Amino acid sequence: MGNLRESYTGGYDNASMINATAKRYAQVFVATASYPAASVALPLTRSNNPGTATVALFAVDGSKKPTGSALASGTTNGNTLPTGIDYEWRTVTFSATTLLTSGTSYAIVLYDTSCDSSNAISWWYDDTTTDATRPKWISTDGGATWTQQTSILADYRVYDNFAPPADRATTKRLVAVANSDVYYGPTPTTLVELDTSSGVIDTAVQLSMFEAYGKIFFVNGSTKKVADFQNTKITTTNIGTNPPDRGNILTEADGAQMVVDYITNDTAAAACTIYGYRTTTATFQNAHGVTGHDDDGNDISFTTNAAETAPPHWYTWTPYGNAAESSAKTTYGTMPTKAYVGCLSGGRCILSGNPDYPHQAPTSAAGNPWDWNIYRTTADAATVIGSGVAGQIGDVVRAVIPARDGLLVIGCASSMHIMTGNPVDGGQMVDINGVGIFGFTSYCFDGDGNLFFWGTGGVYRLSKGAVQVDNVSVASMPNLIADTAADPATHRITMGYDPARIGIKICVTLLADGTSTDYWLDLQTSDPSKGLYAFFPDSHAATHGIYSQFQYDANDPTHKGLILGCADGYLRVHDDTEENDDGTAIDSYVCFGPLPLAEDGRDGSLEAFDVILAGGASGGSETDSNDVTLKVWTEDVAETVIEDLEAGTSPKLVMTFTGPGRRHGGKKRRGVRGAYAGLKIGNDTVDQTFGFEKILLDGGAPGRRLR
Amino acid sequence: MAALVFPFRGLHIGSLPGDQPPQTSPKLLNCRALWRGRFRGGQRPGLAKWSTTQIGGTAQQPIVALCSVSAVESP
Repeated sequence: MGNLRESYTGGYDNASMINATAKRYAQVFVATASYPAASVALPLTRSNNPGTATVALFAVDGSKKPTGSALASGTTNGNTLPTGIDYEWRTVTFSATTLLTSGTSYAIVLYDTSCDSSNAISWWYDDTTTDATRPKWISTDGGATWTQQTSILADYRVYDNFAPPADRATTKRLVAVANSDVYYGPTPTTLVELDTSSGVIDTAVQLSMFEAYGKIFFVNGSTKKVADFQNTKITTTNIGTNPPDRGNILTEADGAQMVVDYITNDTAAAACTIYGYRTTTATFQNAHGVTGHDDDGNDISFTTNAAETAPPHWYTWTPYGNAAESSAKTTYGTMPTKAYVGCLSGGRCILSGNPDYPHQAPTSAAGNPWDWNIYRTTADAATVIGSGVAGQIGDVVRAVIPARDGLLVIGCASSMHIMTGNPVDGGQMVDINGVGIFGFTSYCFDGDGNLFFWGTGGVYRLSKGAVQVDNVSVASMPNLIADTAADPATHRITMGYDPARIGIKICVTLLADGTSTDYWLDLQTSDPSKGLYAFFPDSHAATHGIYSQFQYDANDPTHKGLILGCADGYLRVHDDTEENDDGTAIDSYVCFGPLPLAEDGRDGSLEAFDVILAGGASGGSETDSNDVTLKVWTEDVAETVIEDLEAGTSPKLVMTFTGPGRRHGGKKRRGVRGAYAGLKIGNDTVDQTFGFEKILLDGGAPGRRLR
Repeated sequence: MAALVFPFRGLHIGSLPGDQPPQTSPKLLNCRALWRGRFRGGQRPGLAKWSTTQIGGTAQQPIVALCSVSAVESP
């Protein structure tokens, strides 16, 4: 069915009964646009078996009566309509569409050439509505003459035949981890817990996860898991003589097929679970034979012992066919026994953090997360970055960061390393000495691909292409590292790029209780060409302390955004319409000063104050600001003003300005004197927010210092 | 009459007390340059729950990791 173009739906008070072959009812409507009409739906019921009914579209004459031959028509089986008063909106599709012209009247005509007095069709209408542009008609002579039925408007719907293309969309889901549980879902209302009972993760231990090949790979110390959202799972008690290789096609007798991705056991005749992408609508059934050919052309043959299971699946991440990770099997190598950080780069799964090899980052084969055999000689083979193949790292790896343009940034305690190219085939390592990274979550990319990270001396920017590294916080916050006193053993620093607001949220969170020191790096008001970066400190309640951030590019645009994983297990976002932090008032303020009130440190005065708040005036289209409090300090010395602003106590003036906009008579004439002034404007009231255009100050002439 | 506008360059505590750089503030909290769609300055957007589902159940444990996954589902 196409788009609904015209309709009248209301009343359903009574029905026009077609109980004679020459009887017809017509309802006129006016086309609201020009379009091909393809079908009509009417609310119909039946008595007994009226047979086939016809719905036709007619032009109308100057009196709006149906005229001429039908422009389009279609039929429906009246015997399948409901009886009684519970009508059905029965859609009748025309045998051919007819082009309607905008503003022109047409008549929907219903008749039934096989009905009689006891086998009838009824068309429901509203008997309380009159519309001169849409008269309703009755004919008892097969449409030769028509009589208007006043105060009646029959219900109808008219559709076009627009058939929009159905683009194929992948399913995207957010995955969140807390309390050793994994939740997933595409939207906020569809988050559900993944069954991880077969082998749990431990969120008391550092956990990193990354997406690759329709799966999420978890690294959690000695625990390495896969949440598989793409593959179908089948099982057998006997995999047969020739276990399938990755990429083999398995076919069931009834036609179901899958491309094998991973198996849990490549021992002949052993019980095995097979994960693969099913390419058919036919599904794998219990106790059915499955066949195929392995890479060497040998026959694969086994019988399932259960019907297929749809994704998602949760299983241990091992080399291919080696669920027990037996060291005796080396075909697909051995994964690191422990890992705490991981990522996907160049099609390879990169792991690191093994305490036994802290200076290395083992990788899987390119395009194969199950192949860790470093002894292959092909360019896509697994390898170990930092073992000499493509240079040494020589520092403790804290983060592996997949950057644009095929770069892999390896963040270490005291240095950064950039891997370019294929680490097995001509790749090179470039070192950035003297700058280390804080931790595995203390980085993000902006919208242009520049890497921002919390490093040895503050917040750094590694330009796209790794051309230049700049400390972007040192100019405005030279003591940032000392002030935050963040320790990797006790704190987590997370960074997330917010594409809607074009900035980076930086959260320095105490792991123990969620208390945090946070910053917003506003990239819209920053000027990188001048080395000016705009930082805005934030505060949050400890229960809102942020332990993880992720820019979720959901399929549904209403759910896109920078998602914050909070201390209390809730996912939160910044919402432009939200005036509180999830019910908690926000203490927000801006300080100005020290403002010299006269030249050369002499005294001056401020005599009147006014604040133009956002919103223009009550009502209107702009959002109105709530009231603000303006506090004023004056001192003889600029640094004392700084101290006043820091302390926030004992202001010389406290004034409240009422929004929105600038109120007539709102200027407050209050005088203060001093050499320097400091002002603080803000609001800390629940369910309130503020925005302002400017603060207007009237000053007096410099004069003698008043004591 | 003097007019003070929002410090669009944000916090700056790296200069002499009497020489605060233009468009900066020595102290501010929970503010943004963009307020309700216009550059004028004001309180930052508040936090709202993205989902009412509590990750990890009602134990109120921190969400330690976030990620997304795209998959092509079988026919």
